[in-house]
Amino acid sequence: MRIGRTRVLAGLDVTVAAGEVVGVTGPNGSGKSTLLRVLATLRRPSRGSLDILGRSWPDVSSPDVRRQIVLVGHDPGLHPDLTLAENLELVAALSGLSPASARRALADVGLAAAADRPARACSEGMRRRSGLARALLCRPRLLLLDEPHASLDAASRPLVAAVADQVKARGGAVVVVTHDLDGAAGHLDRVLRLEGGRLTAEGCA
Amino acid sequence: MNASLVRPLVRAELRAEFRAGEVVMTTIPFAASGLLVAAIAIGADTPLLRRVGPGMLWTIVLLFGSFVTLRRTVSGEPTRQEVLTLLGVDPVIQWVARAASSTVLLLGVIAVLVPVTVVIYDPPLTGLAAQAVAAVLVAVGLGALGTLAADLTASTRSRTSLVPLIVTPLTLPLVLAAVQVQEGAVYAASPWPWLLLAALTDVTIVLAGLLAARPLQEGAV
Repeated sequence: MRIGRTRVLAGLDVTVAAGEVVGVTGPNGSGKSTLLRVLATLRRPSRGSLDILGRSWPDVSSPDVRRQIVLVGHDPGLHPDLTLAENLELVAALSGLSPASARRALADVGLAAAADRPARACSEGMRRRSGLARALLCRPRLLLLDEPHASLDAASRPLVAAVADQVKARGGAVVVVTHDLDGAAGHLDRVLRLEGGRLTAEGCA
Repeated sequence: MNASLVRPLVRAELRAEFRAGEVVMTTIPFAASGLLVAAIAIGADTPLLRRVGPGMLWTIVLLFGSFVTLRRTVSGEPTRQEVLTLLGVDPVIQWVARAASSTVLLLGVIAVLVPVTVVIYDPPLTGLAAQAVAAVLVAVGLGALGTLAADLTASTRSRTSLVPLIVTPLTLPLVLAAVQVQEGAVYAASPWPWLLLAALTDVTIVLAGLLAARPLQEGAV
């Protein structure tokens, strides 16, 4: 996997099974976020093969596969001038779900009181939690979380495990990029360590 | 491809714009000032002002309208676009929603600038139905072209200056048609050839946008 002339991922052979929560760790620039974007079908691997939910590249980029994937990254993709509820209601409308389900998802991550606040007026942690609410709303079969604990206060941190557990309980797979192995260890089935775009260690959490 | 997804996207685009107020608070007052400054520069030559008024209006709409299409959109920013992509929203639907919301906003801009032009330049008010159709065709063409140009330049650093550079020459048939429809109304000439030119320009731009939407977005993957 190359970005421009830089090789970002190389020789990576990873399988994530249904019902599994896998952690990915490693130093900055080791390719963790790129791996998530490849798994989210938002980046095309320059070499090798990619199979997601039983489909191979380029079929994995079809809308019916992508609808089963949720990526919650550093930027949760909110429009700053819409409220948290309006942002999530748009997601609900585009997914054929009711506006009420969007508000329920926000309530599930403790954002009921902030639902009508513009995203620009919300803290980083609240915006992060709204990303988790999107994951609850869309009920993905593949959930990809990029540093989900960042900006979350101690009270909100268990939400990450709760959301991952919900996906896992439905038979979905979860990949969590994290520097905070201690915080995530309780709900990870396996941990991969990347360095320089290569898998350098793999083991049980 | 589910066309019913356009509606919630356009609603969200317009809601975000009205709340941000970029067009209402910045573009429209700036464009109205442009009309006023141009009139002051021309001077107190009333017949000349009446003659050049429509041309000034469409020039100002063209210049400021391209910035309307560059506003921060619900579906245009990279991360939000990725969220929509993972929701299975076809790139063509995303493009149509952005072009449609730009068109609505441009119609709003034109609706405000027309009375401003009437007050400042006092142009002859004839053939209003044909001029209204011309205004809609200009808004559709400019909205679609600006959206397409914004997509083409999405990954460039000088996007804000590149888009007007791409849009301005390509909208000349629209501006020409709108001005000629107004001129034709004064001299009782048929507006149809000019409306047809504007409509053909719109169809060409919209087709180009629809065809380019998917390759442009998938090419970024």
